[in-house]
Order: sequence, then structure tokens, then C-alpha cells
Amino acid sequence: MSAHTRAETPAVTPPDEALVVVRNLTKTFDVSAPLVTRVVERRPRQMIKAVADVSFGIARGRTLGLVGESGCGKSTVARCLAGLVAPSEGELNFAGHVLEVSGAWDSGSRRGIQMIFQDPYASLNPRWRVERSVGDPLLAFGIVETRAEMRRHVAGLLEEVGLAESDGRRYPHEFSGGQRQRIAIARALASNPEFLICDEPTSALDVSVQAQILNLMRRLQREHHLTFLFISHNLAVIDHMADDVGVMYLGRLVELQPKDALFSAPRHPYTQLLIKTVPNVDAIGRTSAPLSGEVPNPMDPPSGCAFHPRCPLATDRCRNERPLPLPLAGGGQVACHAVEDHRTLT
Amino acid sequence: MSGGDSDAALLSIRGLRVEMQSDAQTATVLNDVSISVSPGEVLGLVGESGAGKSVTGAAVIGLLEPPLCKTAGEIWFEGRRIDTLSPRDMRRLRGAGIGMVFQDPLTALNPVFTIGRQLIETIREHTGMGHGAATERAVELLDEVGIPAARDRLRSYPHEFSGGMRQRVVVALALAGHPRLIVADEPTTALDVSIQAQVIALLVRIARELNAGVILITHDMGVIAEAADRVAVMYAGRVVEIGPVAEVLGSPRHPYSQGLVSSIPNIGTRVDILPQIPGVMPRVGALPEGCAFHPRCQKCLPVCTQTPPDQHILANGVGVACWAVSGPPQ
Ligand SMILES: Nc1ncnc2c1ncn2[C@@H]1O[C@H](COP(=O)(O)OP(=O)(O)OP(=O)(O)O)[C@@H](O)[C@H]1O
Ligand SMILES: Nc1ncnc2c1ncn2[C@@H]1O[C@H](COP(=O)(O)OP(=O)(O)OP(=O)(O)O)[C@@H](O)[C@H]1O
Ligand code: SF4
Ligand SMILES: [Mg+2]
Ligand SMILES: [Mg+2]
Repeated sequence: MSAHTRAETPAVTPPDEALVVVRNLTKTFDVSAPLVTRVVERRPRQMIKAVADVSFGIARGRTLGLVGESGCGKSTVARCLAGLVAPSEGELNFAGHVLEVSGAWDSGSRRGIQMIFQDPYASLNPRWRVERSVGDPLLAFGIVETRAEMRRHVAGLLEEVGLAESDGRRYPHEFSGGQRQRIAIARALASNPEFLICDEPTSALDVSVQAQILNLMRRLQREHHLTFLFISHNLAVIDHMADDVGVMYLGRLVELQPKDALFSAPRHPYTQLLIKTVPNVDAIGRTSAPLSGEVPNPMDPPSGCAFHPRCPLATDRCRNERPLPLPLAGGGQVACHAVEDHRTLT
Repeated sequence: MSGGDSDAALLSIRGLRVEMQSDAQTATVLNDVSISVSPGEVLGLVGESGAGKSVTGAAVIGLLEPPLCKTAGEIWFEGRRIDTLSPRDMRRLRGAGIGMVFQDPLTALNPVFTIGRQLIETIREHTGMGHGAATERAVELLDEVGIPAARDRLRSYPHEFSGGMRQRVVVALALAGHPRLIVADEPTTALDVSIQAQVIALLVRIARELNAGVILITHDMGVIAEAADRVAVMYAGRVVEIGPVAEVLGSPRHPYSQGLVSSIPNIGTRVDILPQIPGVMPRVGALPEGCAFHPRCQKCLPVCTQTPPDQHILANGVGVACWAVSGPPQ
């Protein structure tokens, strides 16, 4: 197989319409033991391919949801886009410009990109008043000139996320988890971003607070015409937020489809099992069959299709040859030999 | 007593009150919490962050530390009152009668020792077994929690295991002293769905096969629906609703439980805006008069702003503390 048969960017959002384009993104981390230990214990260098050859596009105003097991590389994709880590290979495009691999968070080309993290406490400076945390990007990007102007702007932002102007003079620890996440969202909005990367923004929150934050994010998306990359391990949250959904497994994008198609007719065996194992409130007393097998060691990924040791449809071809992304009829792509060979789960 | 026969109970918490006492202030963290767990039963504990779930769990295993302290109520385990035990007896009970599983498997495991060493030491400490017997028991336990090639894996370090495997090792550690009760505080929050299902299935199996009671603390209602037999919903330090899981999640009666259940996004049921409970839970030390939920409640009656509701047992065995459900006092 040559690289030409590979769908370079998925059909869900053709690249010319996309605000955000990720092409063949790969990120390798060196996790070797210190040199001395390696020499003494005769251990080799160890590398983790956290993200391998991932491509997708997100159209303006849309939300791409990214799901997958812990350690599959979701956050690494997000951090590459946000400029927090430098990709090893591949190209990132934003609004028609190539994103430089500078790694500098607030460099010019990334001004339109902001990121919201899982732990809003860790992302806010505990010693700064909320006003300063939210207002800092305003000054940094030259959106406002004076402190008074900044205060006024911050008050507006706080109100927009459902907080009061007076909250600006308080410190992060005086707020609940949900309120802190609102502050983080207000800060992310301060620089008028077009693209918001949300890495598990509600995973640390309980369901009632989660509903408030998800509703807030959707309202802001509509009003500001924001584009989202939305990462979560909660499929119900993804179903609620996303337009298209990408499924990652061990660093690779194994399926990408519009949300409706993905949830009603998942194609990859991993996606199918993932959807089947979701704990469901309607399933009272019915324990979902756990996905068998172990998450493989990312330092030593299985040959062929990395999912084959856990896959009920695996064949010799799966063990030996890595499946390439196959374009799907309704838009989207899937990387699985069984789909290509028309084998299905019974 | 609430929704369970406390005579047959393995654990029974009666009228538990916990306060936070600092120089600056004294505030109520738990108020009149009564919960029981039977052998072989999984009791789910749900509620907003800060509602008092972890403090309840900590009180059961005797790990309340200043500024928190118990100021009223009793905790009984296997017919014995345990909230008055000396720290030494409590430590012994924690090893042998009550096991614990916490959210983050990495903090429960020591990264510099092998899985085997940690398991074997824990087993020896709790059972007094010799090294050989403890090693056999360690293999057995790893087998029990579904770690393949258990004997070989004794030599592994925690970082060589995946998140789900590590959490199963923590469960194995909790099982080392043959506990009859396991307190699991957010045991799957750090794990992804596929692994989460494995750990939950394991806990349910332990409850059934070893006839142990399990207190499962989580804010994931899906997990509760699948794993728990009964569920207690907590709000601002009180149990507001407790009963069989099918009743409480299927037809919640307390306005807070109703809001909680309806705010869960569900795959396939598309709504533009998720139903949400307006407002935030009051903070410890700033509880409103009357029912703590009243400022956010749409069914609030005049009495709700003055008198906290007592728990009222409905015909279906569900206990609810809400004036709108029980009717105002005479
Ligand atoms: N800075 C780093 N150094 C070394 N390895 C890393 C680093 N960051 C991530 N990794 C590894 O890369 C892989 C992907 O990690 P990543 O955080 O992207 O996963 P994730 O999908 O976000 O998982 P989770 O759901 O647990 O957040 C993991 O194996 C992780 O251990
Ligand atoms: N060590 C402590 N000192 C002071 N206050 C505490 C302490 N531990 C808990 N609290 C307070 O007691 C209340 C109940 O906390 P608890 O940890 O039981 O909540 P929870 O229901 O487990 O919430 P979460 O879902 O966030 O874990 C909170 O308001 C918390 O601030
Ligand atoms: S390629 Fe093979 S092993 Fe991989 S998911 Fe498809 S059928 Fe399973
Ligand atoms: Mg992550
Ligand atoms: Mg807790």
C-alpha cells in the first residue's frame, strides 16, 4: 500500500472548508530511563508514539468530538494544536495559515486558539484575583489599554459565563469546581478566539454542574460562532456536544464519522464495543459486559492493527498488516480490515 | 431507619453528624446521616461535589481528621459499635474488616516497590501469614481481580501496569484482609469507560461472591444504575433520598434527585439544552435555614424556608426528606 491510497484528510470536513486542519500529525515522546540506568541495566531507549499519523479537519462553527481510552493520545493532539508541545511530524493549519512549531503559547499565529483544561484549578493562578486571570490576556493581546477598560471588559465576560462582576475580586479557591470552570471559560473567551480546544472540561464536575457548563458552552458557541475540538471520555457528553466524532486507539484515529452515523452505525469494532460498554442510567441492574483484554503497552504496540489482541474479528491479516483509513460513503473514515472485507460482529 | 433493615445490616450509620471545627468557625458538614448496608449489597452514594460523600466514607473507615470531627451519631459494623474504637483497633479493623479503594490508583501504590512486594506485605500485616503463604495468597488475589499471568506480574512495578490494571491491584490490596465491607470512593473516575466497566464488574462480583457489602461513591449515575442495589442521594451534608436504585433513578421523588437525574446527557436522546438545576449548592458554613435545597427548589413551600424536612418513608421503601413529598408538618 502506498501513502496515496490513504485519505489525507477525512471526508467529513473537506480541507478547503475547514478552519482547523491536522495533517498526518505524529508525536513521539522519549521516555527512556536516564542514561546511566540504561547503561547499567542494559536497557534500550524507549519511545512512545503518543499520536501517529492523525488527520482531520474541523469546519468553522462545528464541533469535533474526540474519544478514546485513557492514554490513547487525545490530550497530545490537543496540546499540539494549542502549541503546548511540538509535533514530531505533520502539519497543522489554522484559518489558512500553517501553525508554527514554536511551542510558544501566546505566539501570534495561535491568538485565535484557546484551550480549556480538565482541572480549572490547576489552570488558574491561585494567587491571582479572578479579575487578573481573566483580564491578563486582554492586556497581553492589546485588546484593552487601561486597567479601567480591562475591568469593564472582565465584568462583561464574567456576566457572560454566569458570574457576577464582584466575583472578579475573589480568588479561585473561593469558588466551586463548576464556578472555576466558568472562570476558565471566561478567560479563554477574553482574547476573542475562533477556535476553542476543550480537554475534558467537565470530567471533574458532577452531572448537575456539568449540565450548566455544557449548556453555557453551546450557547457561547452559537453566539460567537466558535469552533470546538471537544475531548471527553464520556460518550454521552460527546453525543450532546459534537457534530463529528473521532475515535482514537493507541495514538491512531481509527474512526471518524458524523455523530449520528457514529452512534447509530459504528463501523470499527473498537467503536462498537466502546458504545456497548457505556454505563447507562436506563440500564438499571444490568452490568455492561466489560471490554475484554488489556490496554496494550504504548511503548510496545501490537503489530498490524493495534486493536487486534482485543478484537473479536481479528484475522491473520489484522495481526500483520496495519489497516489504512478507508473513506466511508456518508463522509468519514474507518481503519479496519474487517470493514474492508465486509466481516461483521455477529 | 432508612430504606433497609438495620438489624440484618452489616453496617449501620445512625444520625451521624460531622462538624468542621477551626479557630475561625464551626460548621456542619454532615447532618443526621443514616445509612445501612447489608452483606452482599452495593450501596451507591451520589450527590454534588462537596455534598459530603467522601466525609461519610471517611467516617466509616475511621479516617476523619481535624478540622473534621464527629459530634453526634453512631456507626455499627457487624453488631459492634466502631465509631468509638481506639485508633489502634480501628487500624486493625481497616485491614481486616473494612477495605478501601480510592480514586487514584497511583497514590495508593508505591511506585518504587513491585506489585508483589506491596501485596505480600499488606497480606502479612493483616493476616500474619509467612512469606511463602502470603505469596501464594497474592497470586490468588491477582487472579481473583483478573490480572493475567498473576505469578509473573508480581515482579512488575506499578508504572508497568495500565490504569485499569493498577486499580484492580488496589482492589486486590483492599481484599487482602478478607474485608466484609469495601468503601470505594470514586474508584473509576480516573479511568476510561472500558476499564471502568471492568472495575465496576469486579466490585459487584466481590459483593455477590464474597457476600461483602460495598459502598460505592461516585458522581457517575450510569455506574450507579448498573452496579448499585440501593442508592443514597446526598445534598449539603444530608441524605435527601435513599432507596432501591430502580425507584430512585427510575422515578426520583426529591426535587434535587429529579434535577440530578434529568441533567444527565444520554446517548441518543438529543436535546438542545440539557435540563439544569439553577444555582449552586450552598457552601459549608453558609447553609440556609430550613431545607438546604430550598433556594434552588421549584416546589418550595413556606415551611421549607424554616424547618428542615425529616426523612419520610414511602410505601415503596424509599426514604425522602422533602416537605413537598411528605406534606408540611401538622
Ligand atoms: N510529556 C510526556 N512525556 C512522556 N509521555 C507522555 C507525555 N505526555 C503524554 N505521554 C504519553 O503519551 C500517551 C498519550 O497520552 P495523552 O495524555 O495524550 O492521552 P489521553 O488520550 O489524553 O489520555 P487521558 O484520557 O488519560 O487523558 C500516553 O501513553 C502518555 O503516557
Ligand atoms: N479536611 C477538611 N477540612 C475542611 N473541610 C473539609 C475537609 N474535607 C471535606 N471538607 C468539607 O466538607 C464538605 C464535604 O466534602 P466531601 O469531600 O465529603 O464532598 P464529596 O461529596 O465527596 O465531594 P466530591 O464529589 O467533590 O468528592 C465540603 O464542603 C468540604 O469542603
Ligand atoms: S483491523 Fe482487524 S483487529 Fe483491527 S479492529 Fe478491524 S477487525 Fe479488529
Ligand atoms: Mg487527556
Ligand atoms: Mg469526594
